[in-house]
Amino acid sequence: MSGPTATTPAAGERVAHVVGAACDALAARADEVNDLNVFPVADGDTGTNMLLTTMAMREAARATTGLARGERCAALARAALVGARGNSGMILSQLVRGAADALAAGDGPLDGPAVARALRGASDAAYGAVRAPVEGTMLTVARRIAEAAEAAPAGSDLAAVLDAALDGGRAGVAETTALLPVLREAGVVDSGGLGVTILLAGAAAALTGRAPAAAPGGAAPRVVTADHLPSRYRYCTSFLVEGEGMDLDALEAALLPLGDSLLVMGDGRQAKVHVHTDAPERAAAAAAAIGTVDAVLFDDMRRQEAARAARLSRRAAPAASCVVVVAADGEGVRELAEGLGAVAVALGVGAMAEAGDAAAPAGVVLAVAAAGADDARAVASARPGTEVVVTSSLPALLASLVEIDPAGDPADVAAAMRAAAGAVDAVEVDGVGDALREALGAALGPLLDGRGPALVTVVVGRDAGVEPAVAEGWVRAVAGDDVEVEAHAGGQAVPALAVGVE
Amino acid sequence: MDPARLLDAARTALVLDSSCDVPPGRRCANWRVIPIPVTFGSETFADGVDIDAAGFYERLERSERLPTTAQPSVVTIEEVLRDALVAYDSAIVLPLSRHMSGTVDRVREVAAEIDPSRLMVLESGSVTVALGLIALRLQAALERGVTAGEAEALVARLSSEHRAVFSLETLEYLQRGGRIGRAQAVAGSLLRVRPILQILDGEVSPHSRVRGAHRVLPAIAEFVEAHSDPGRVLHVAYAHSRRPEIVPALEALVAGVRPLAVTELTGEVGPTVGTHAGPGAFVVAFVHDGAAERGGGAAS
Repeated sequence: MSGPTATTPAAGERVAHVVGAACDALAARADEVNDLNVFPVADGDTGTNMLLTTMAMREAARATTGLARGERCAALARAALVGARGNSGMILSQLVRGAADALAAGDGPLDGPAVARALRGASDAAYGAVRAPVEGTMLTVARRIAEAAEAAPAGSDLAAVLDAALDGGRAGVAETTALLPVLREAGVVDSGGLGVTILLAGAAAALTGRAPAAAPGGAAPRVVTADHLPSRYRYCTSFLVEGEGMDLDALEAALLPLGDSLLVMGDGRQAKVHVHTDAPERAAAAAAAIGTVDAVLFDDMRRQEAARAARLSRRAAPAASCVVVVAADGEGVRELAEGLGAVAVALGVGAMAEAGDAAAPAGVVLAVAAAGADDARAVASARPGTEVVVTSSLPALLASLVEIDPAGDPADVAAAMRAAAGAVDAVEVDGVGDALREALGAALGPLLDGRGPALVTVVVGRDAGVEPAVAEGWVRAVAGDDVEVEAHAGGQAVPALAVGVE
Repeated sequence: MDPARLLDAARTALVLDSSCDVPPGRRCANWRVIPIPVTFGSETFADGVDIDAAGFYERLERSERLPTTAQPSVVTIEEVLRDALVAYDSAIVLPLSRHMSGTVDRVREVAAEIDPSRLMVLESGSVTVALGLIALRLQAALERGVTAGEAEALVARLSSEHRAVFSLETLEYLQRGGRIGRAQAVAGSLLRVRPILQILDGEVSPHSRVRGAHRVLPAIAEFVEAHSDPGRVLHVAYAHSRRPEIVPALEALVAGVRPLAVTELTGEVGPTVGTHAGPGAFVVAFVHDGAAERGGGAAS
């Protein structure tokens, strides 16, 4: 089969075909890559992150028909950066950027030497983008790929160079286990390195029209020790920042105090920021000072952890003498209640009664905000011994749950819950957009004025049209530094924002 | 050891382990400390020998992996006990709570082989400066002179009567280390829930939980009030991890509710306990002056 040593820049469809082949190759083995993931954080998402990053490139590639080579390369590099997920996706985006820059710099055919230059560019760009490169990772594999491609005999055609590169990749993947102690202990190869090799094998098959070469298999991990701490910060925040001559070192310095797991990658025109922080809006503001911020993502990591922990702890919980049943509108509110140790159900007499019966023989405290008061009393009147706690607001309801004591006496627990709820000053705010923000500020002002240290809890309704992280930023903008803020998606119909100050 | 054996500070060593968090400057001449090993990945350090608190937290910050603690080796224990018996006639050994570590049992085995007539191993039911506080009260008794039987009874009383309340920035370290005991029930990282924990019967137990950083200190004051007598002298110890400014605040807090409180000890939570507490933690430990040791006083 004739290696298509393209003499003209491939059309968008052609590029999409190559990227798509890489994508498919990885999709077939993403779980295997995920399972190998023990470094830098053993959270088992390397394969998924690299796949999502590659998929973003495939989308963009389709739209590049008719563009000149330089523009097409820039579009792909940008797509990889914008779509980059996780550490591995960030590094992959830098490999893509390096390769794209090298390809854009040449105007000849996509032949063996051009591919070797692109692979060298990829490796150099990734090493340059990581502040403290660690060997035994996907960086090592990218470098081995570049070295092997460059070492192919002079005159090698595209297919021969790609074969050499893949051999280098396989050797590099095998090498990672010995280079990185955490991999050696777990008995695995590096997940990101394997992912890079799989992507290259897929792309090479599409470029040469041959069946995909087998990428190396990864041995199943002996142990995947989850002894990494999840971040102490709440939001896994990422965004793109674009401008002219941006000083990324200065941006990094500005972001450093805001959190951890900080990655700033890219160049003076375009960079991606990844940081774990409690104040994502401050991170975005720091970037907005030097460029245009786009593609902002806030992932609430603590919420994911808490949901998992609540599930696990309920399974292991010993028999309780007191069960608190919370009935509330809003899936988010119920999730939060469960995170604090309650059994949460939707509003309605049936659901409340059923949860009460399921708790037997433990005593039951039925806790509701005002909207559920009548139903709760009706259920309690049919179930002697059931304690009812009615709070004036959703934040007060959640605040009362801090007193849950599975070993306590239901009457005592209910009394403590009422006292905790009573310590919350609540306001309800409705509106949309700026009007909602202004209404929140106006309502909070008098409550916070002269109060000193406080805790503000915002439960965001399903139609509020605002991210909890953004609502937190609104509160921080009107509150002093000694005020803690936490906002959550409550999913309640009303109000748009239920706010508690305590 | 013969319960009638007379013990005093000139002839009796007091052997602790590095979980006691008593700063070197506050340790007495007759004290010896068994270092507990703290491991980061493939590197193991002896607490207080080749890693100190500052080095530990700096490493914790950088490390990809959480550290772990282990029991000190038989060889290490033997070295420290033998060293103590070179300069002193006998030694009392007071390791951390058996509910937190098997160290005390291993120490007992080693002591039985070396010389049970000169070594007395006691269960402290405690850890960190709470253990340090017990050691200081025992030292005060040794300075007056006591029998081995009296020393044992004194430690038993201090162990059961002392209280310790603490706050952690996060429960993660405790959970990952498996040292959480009954504290599990208070887990909850959402909605700014701060667990208030205590050492009870030698274990880490939940006391209560509060929401918001501003409620932590009032909860500590409430604990001290609930578990102490305003009419009696109260010996108090404080420790923090990477939060030195909290100690004066805690001292003022305790002085506010218990004017007869005497600060016996302030320290930093070291590598051993820091492995399970993490940065941002603090502890307040206290015990009343007892009739048997009255006159030992707060002077050091």
